[in-house]
Amino acid sequence: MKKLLIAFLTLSSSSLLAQTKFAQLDQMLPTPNSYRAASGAPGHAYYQQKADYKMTLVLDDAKQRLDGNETITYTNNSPDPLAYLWLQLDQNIYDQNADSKVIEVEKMENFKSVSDLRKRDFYYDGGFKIERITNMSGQPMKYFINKTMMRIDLAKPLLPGQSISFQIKWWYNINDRMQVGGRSGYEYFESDQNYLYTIAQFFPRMCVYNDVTGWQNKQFLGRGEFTLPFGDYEVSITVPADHIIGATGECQNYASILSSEQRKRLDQARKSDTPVIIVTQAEAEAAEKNKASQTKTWVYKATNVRDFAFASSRKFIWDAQKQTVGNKDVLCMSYYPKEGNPLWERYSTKLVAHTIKTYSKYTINYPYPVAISVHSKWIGMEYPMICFNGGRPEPDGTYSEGEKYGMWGVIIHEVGHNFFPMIINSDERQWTWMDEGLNTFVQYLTEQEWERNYPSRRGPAYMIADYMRGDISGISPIMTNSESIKQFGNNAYGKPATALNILRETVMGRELFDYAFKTYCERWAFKHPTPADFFRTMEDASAVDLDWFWRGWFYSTDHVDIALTDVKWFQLNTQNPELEKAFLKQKDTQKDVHIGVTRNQTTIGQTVNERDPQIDDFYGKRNIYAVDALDQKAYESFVAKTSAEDLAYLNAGKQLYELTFENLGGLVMPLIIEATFADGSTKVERIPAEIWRIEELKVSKVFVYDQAVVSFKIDPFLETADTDLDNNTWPRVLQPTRYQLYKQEQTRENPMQRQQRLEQMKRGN
Amino acid sequence: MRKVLFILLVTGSSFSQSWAHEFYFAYAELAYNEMNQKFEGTLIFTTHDLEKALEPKGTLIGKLEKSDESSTLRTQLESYINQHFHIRYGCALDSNAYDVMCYTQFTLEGISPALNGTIECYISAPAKLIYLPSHLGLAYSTFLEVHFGALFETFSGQQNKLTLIYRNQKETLNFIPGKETQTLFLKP
Repeated sequence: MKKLLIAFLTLSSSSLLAQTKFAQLDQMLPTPNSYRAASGAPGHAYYQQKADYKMTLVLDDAKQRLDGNETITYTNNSPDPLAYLWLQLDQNIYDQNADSKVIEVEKMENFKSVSDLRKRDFYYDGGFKIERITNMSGQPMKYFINKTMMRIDLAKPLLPGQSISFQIKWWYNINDRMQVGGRSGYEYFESDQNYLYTIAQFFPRMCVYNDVTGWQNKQFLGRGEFTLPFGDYEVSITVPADHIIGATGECQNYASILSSEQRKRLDQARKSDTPVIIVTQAEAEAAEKNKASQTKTWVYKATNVRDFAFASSRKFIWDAQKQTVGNKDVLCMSYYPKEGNPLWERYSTKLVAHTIKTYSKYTINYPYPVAISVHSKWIGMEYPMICFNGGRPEPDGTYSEGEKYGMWGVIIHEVGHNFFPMIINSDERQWTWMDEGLNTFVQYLTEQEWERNYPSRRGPAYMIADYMRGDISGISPIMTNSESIKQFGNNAYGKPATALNILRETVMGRELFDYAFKTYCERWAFKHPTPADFFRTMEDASAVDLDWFWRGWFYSTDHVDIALTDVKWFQLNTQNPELEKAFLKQKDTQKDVHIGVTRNQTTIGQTVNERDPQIDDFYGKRNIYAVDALDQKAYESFVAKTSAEDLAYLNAGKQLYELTFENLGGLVMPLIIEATFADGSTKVERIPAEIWRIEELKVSKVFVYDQAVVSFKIDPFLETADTDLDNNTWPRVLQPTRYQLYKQEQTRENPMQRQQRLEQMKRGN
Repeated sequence: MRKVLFILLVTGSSFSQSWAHEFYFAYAELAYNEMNQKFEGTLIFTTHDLEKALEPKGTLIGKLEKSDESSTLRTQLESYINQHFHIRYGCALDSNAYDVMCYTQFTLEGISPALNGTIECYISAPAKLIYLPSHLGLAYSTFLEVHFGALFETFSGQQNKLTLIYRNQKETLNFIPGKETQTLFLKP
């Protein structure tokens, strides 16, 4: 410890380093304009196009083929005349020559078996078969297909404010999702020879035209998802008569589709706060066996949605309940085959209800009349009002705890996508993180409200540390186009969700963050936001400059490793000789003594100067710890010149600590420091990240306490994603490795094994 | 041109799974314990990815979550780890024979599946590292060649990371398909 003589110095420091981490994002973001304001809100001239669809669909269960006839009415709300229209043909990703197959990087080691090669060369006749495109008078329209995009040339430009209607007749062979993969398709159940269809991206859909991209006609390569305009849908779907359908929107003809008993159950469900079974497992199993040869047509309407999807199967069990959001009741529903039970009957619809309720709190009130979760194996995929989810028990109906949480997590996540991007409608083809990252963040909040200490995989800061640490050659910044991302899950889901969690818990605080996040959602609901709109709104609504945060977390691959590298301890010099000389004596007494001195105390009976009093002169006799009159006079003079307040402060026994922090990982973050005192009490200091604004690599900070500190720890609550906790403490405390923690455990039994042993004991075995 | 011998496997595996996670990342935390002369560490995988990788090696494997220490699945897993995670290191007793190398053989000491879908595998392997005057001009050092190719054969987007802890110093290495082996030098 050092005694500190207070000196009043004028310090000035300047950094020779170029300061980049706190540079504003101005040059990196698009210039604000009348469409998108500098505040992050839609500008006064913001516009978006509208695409309305009327479709008649026929599902051929024998051939696994879907036929459609659609009428699109497209309204040009832009200020630009449009000479042509672009539509998306997502099914063409299954064309034999699709780019998505050709661009896969391959090595021979990818093909270790014949089955690997057979998978590669597997062929089925996929892709859209466009039969005709006509105007409303039945005249053919000129069109050109460029892989997954189709351009329709207009006879004359579509002027601002004008609408055009046209018809497309098409069909395609539905993909076997379990063989071909994909976000939609069919699952075949060999045991009862039935199909379960989850149908999406199934019709030619309008591309977005807007102020950012013009036509967003970037080819569909499989990873970057969908960018779609809003519109109204009227869809009739003809399927085998014993099929049950769940779809985007509200069914218009339950009266002619369902039995009176089923309609009665549905009415009960609309008033119930817990799930009511509408089609029972027994009814579904009977349908599985009978296989109707007749057909029925289900009619749906959906308003202000960006897409339409449906699921159809005779295997479906169906349950529903209401969830009140704001002043509206939403009908939450689940459709699942018996293979999903007992998990699905017990949890799915309750999870749907919980998800829309919780997301509504953090974003906007869920605006649609229904929310649906459909079970199909190995999937997690979202569409407006409906999503397809995995989570299947073993054939014997048992399931592990991990499987249960997996099912819970995927349902919350996919239902949550109703908000991002179905309503807050970002460009998925360009930026995966804008929907997956934001959705994963609210998923975390929702999971924590479902069960206390829910074992979420993404959200808490410390969980992203392994991915971000060290060698960064294999990772990309979050701000990377969807198709070029390395480590998709960590990059587009985990890291942005963590970043938002850090903003909420550490940088902004919950109140500021929640207000700003909700503002973003309200501003951009049913619109097309971009990253800049998000970044700007979060700052605009909070008065927190977050440019450093976006720069570090979203534009770089830096990681957090802040080390506490030095601690210096000081006390104030009171100038009181009684105190200071006593302190000096105590300090000297506590000094370590050389072993020779100690031994000489006993082996040398008497030294010469101890025997002969003539030896010691002034220096030998002087007591350096004694307080003399000069000391007293100097102190009296000091007291006379010093205010009572300053004297009281000097004599208060203050303990001063100068801590030095080094930024080893590159990512600047707030400093959270926990001081532990001799009496066991603690104090947490929170220093905003701006402490790094001038010196980005090394900073120091002085803390003043009333009692001595025994230890310091930075990031004590694991809130900054610090990748090395070993350099976070003073005195240095090395964190045990996971292996060491495992070896310290008392038992090797897992909970299930322990339960089995307990049951055996009860049985007397 | 090379002839490629394929193994004929009959598998029921799908072409691709469409789980939303796309979380193809494994992490190893490995420390060299100089007292015991052992590498001791933890490998962390996404559980169902690891199960998927083990599938072609046998028939129905069951869930790792339910396996006990004596199950054949544990033996399979230990074998899989040793095939896909190993270290080559200098182990000569004679300083002149600097190119005598040994390979680790890890023992799977236990596993711990977590409810968030990850699994920790605890491993150790004896390794008597010998520090030699390097032929590469470095002062006394030992040479480690770490191979961490787990799950690469199953998921093309897989990446693995290793943090090696040695005398309280840490170094993190990244492994991607095509760059499955990395070298580093440890100084005494």
